[in-house]
Amino acid sequence: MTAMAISATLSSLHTDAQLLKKLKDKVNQATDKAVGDKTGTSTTGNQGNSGSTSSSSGTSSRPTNKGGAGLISTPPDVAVNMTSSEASFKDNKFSESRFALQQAILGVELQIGQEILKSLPNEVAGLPKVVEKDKVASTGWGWSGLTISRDYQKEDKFLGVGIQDFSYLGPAWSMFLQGGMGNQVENDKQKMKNIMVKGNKGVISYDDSKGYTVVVMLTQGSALVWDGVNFASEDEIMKAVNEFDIDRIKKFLGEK
Amino acid sequence: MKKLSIFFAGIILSNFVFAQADYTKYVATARTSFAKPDLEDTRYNLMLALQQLDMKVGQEILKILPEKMDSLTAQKKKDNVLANSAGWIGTTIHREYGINPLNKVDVDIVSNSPMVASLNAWLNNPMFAQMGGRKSMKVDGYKGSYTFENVETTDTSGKAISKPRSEMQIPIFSSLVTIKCENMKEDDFVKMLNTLPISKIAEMLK
Repeated sequence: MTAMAISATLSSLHTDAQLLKKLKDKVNQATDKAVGDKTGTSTTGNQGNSGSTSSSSGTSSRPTNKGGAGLISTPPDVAVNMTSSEASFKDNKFSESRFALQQAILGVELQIGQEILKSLPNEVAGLPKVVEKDKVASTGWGWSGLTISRDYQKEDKFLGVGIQDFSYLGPAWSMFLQGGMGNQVENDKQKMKNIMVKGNKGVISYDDSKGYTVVVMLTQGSALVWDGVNFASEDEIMKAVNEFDIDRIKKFLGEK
Repeated sequence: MKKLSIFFAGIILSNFVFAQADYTKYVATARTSFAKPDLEDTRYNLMLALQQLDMKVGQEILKILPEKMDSLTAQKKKDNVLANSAGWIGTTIHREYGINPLNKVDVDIVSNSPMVASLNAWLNNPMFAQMGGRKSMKVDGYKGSYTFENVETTDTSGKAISKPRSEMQIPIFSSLVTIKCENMKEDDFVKMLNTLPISKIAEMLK
């Protein structure tokens, strides 16, 4: 009898626990929605995971970051790092010397990237630049590390330009372009072809799902890449590409 | 023989001096270019300085390698350091021991080796660590992948012989230290490995 009573009590507790869990899930969902509405972030994408997230209690689950000031922008000081590298080198501390030298290269590359961004047009083909998407990245490893990108967008029309200094891929790209291999036809439709942009060899391709892509190889390994979404024609994307001062970019990258 | 040793020591020393002088020269040029400012020229000279620094590190590592491994003498005239500072390949350092190709040891160190990631994954997965004809082993406290095989070959008279071949790969940060040995028993090879100053090499590859 006692056993039955305990069993019934446990069963009741189990049912209550399930009910409580369901209630808690509903409350959590409602709270998330309310917070999402206030902050402008949607929580609908997480609803599919409610089964897995609901198993953790409110106090033990890892909180979601609601925002912060981010990292302080501290590009390496080139001059200081050069001095530091020399001092470590003299003391035979090669690991420290190397680190400081890489930091100096990183600092210079970031400055080059910022200068190139400044030199790019503010508006292309009627599309204004998206300032917050400007990007300069460098590994500081030399020869292969600098990436610069900018987006232009108005409504659903988009143009992205990327400048990649990847000398190690240069030979492969050069072979690709020199060999005239950039011509590809599928089902009588031209998918890719070789082009010249302001005296530089390049390739243009089109894909219904991605739009137009133009790649121009610079003399010694760097490449310029444009992605055009919702451009009406090859002429239109090429007109946009020709708005960029390629010679000036080459000068910044030390290309002839 | 003594004169020959002095000659090769002289070559190594001159390379060392050149690397040091060039490093100083390139950093000085970079500093001048940065003051102009000519950022591209600064970058170019800093990269060249990095190359020279890597050369210097390579030469320093060669200096701390043992004069002998087992009974085999270092063939310093074949010492080689190649630095490209491309980031994706890095510096290669090569040292050989012994003059007989059937009984020699090769030591190769490659910084930023593309092999390191897969090797680390293998070493840190107990399921794989004893598979594929290799086993995990420690040298000077550093885990590595050891491979031993008997290679069937023929001697000068055409008679079939079986020859042992050992290889040890030790990942250190992003660098890979490889020691290959022909014609040495496993126990002798392991004993020989322990004469390598892996901790000191690791310190320099940081």
